[in-house]
Amino acid sequence: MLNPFEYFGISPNASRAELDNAYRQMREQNKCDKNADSLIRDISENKLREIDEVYRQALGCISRGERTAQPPQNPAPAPPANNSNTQNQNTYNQNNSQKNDQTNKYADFENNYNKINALINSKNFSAAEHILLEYNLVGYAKWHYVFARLRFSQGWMNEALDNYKKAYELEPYNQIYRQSYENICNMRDGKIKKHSNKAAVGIAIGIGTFYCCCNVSPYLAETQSCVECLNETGITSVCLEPCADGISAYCNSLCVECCGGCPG
Amino acid sequence: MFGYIKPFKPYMRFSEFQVYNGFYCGLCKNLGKNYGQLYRMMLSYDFAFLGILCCSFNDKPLHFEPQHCIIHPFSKKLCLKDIEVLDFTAAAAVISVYQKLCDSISDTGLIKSIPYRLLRLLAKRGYKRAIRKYPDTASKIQLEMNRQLKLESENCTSIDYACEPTAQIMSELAGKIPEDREQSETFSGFGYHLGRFVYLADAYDDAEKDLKKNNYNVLLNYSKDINTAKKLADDNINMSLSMIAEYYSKMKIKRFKDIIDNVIFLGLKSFSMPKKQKKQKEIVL
Repeated sequence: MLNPFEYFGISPNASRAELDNAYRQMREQNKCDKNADSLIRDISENKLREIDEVYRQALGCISRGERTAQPPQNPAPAPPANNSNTQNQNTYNQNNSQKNDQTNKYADFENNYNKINALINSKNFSAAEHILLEYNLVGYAKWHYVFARLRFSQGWMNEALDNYKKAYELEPYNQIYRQSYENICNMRDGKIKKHSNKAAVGIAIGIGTFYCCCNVSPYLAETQSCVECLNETGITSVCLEPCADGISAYCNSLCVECCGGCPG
Repeated sequence: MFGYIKPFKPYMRFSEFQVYNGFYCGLCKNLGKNYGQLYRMMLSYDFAFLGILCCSFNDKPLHFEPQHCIIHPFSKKLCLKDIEVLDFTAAAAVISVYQKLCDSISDTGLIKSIPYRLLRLLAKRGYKRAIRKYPDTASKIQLEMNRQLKLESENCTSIDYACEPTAQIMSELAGKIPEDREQSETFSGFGYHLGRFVYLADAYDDAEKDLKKNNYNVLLNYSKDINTAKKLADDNINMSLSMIAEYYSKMKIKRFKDIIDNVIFLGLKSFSMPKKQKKQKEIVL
């Protein structure tokens, strides 16, 4: 397997900004025309997906501090096991059964994941809170993410920020976690998403920074254009496809051409 | 706790400010008529804002008329004539002020609380009348105030948990404004984050005083360093303001949008600006 940095044509010690630039350039080059043949569109989509995958691996490399030519492996979320190397057979068996219990807990959590999300969406916060605190899988990114979602919906912003941060730190290559964390960081830094005329005044006086609805440009944009291709014709179809986990991908103001599908 | 929801005067049109004052005066007259002269003195712009929110949701024609006022005996000020629309706001004001008095009494020592106790005695009659008119709101507010006292005595360390009582009170008050259920939920969310903002802004302002007197302040439970505590408050305030703006964009307001925009986008954030400019500094344009 190719080294992700070689794939983008940058040195292994490149910065995050250089990687992002290279990623964007590659995507631009491999995008095909809207009206192209369906075969060409298929090839183009496959290529874009490949680019996304390698980008994610490169991000994982950067976050782990690995800059060698070693191909990275996809880290699976391993449950922290309570292993202790003792000679005693009983303790060994006990440890094994403890490990089994913990693995069962994780499997159980995965099975109930959709149910918990449904509870949050239907605003049944106390039930969701009760279930999540029972599991208490501190150190497991998915648990932190769902807990952050619950706290955000309840309005407990401080805990939501902490848990989104934890989920992102545990799995930095996960685009959903990254975007949720970036979103809440923007809110924390005073960048209000929705625009208004008074907001423009706010910028002039220096009270806070107001961003347009895409949360990207610091000036007010009246048109809801896609931030990648600035496609201003008609309404942008933002990515709202439910990903494999069963929850919708975060709306990142990209039209379906540029969104590249759900990372799930 | 009161005085954080106010308009940003440098960027408010004079006509809008006259309307805002009209609501303030109308509320003052309503309080004097229904609850006695004492509550008129304890009015603040926060409740005028609540009154504007109440009226912005419906289309009922409102009459304003220049009228005299005890505070301004020489000039007539624009005042709202149909003061019945502000009944709910007035009751909310009375209940909140009374509960704040009780809160102050429990915070200060025996000797210092004597003037507060005297005030409370005089204010009790109006409070009972307000409870009779809106019993469930009053009981909810009382419950939340009790919860606030309890968590203060337990020295609560979680910011979110400490903001909860104030947030729930504002959420309850705001949720009663619209009649249909969906808008009521949006208004509740709006009120919730407004309450969080008020509590955090209060904690931010009182941080230095509480550090000296060793009073309860949830920010100081995170760190004794003033700057870190204030930064934490700033972060949470920004997040709440973002949520306020999001809920606000979903609310279907029919009028007074300019005034509400001014308060939400400019007025709230300016809470940390110095209240009175003692000496006008030189500016270059």
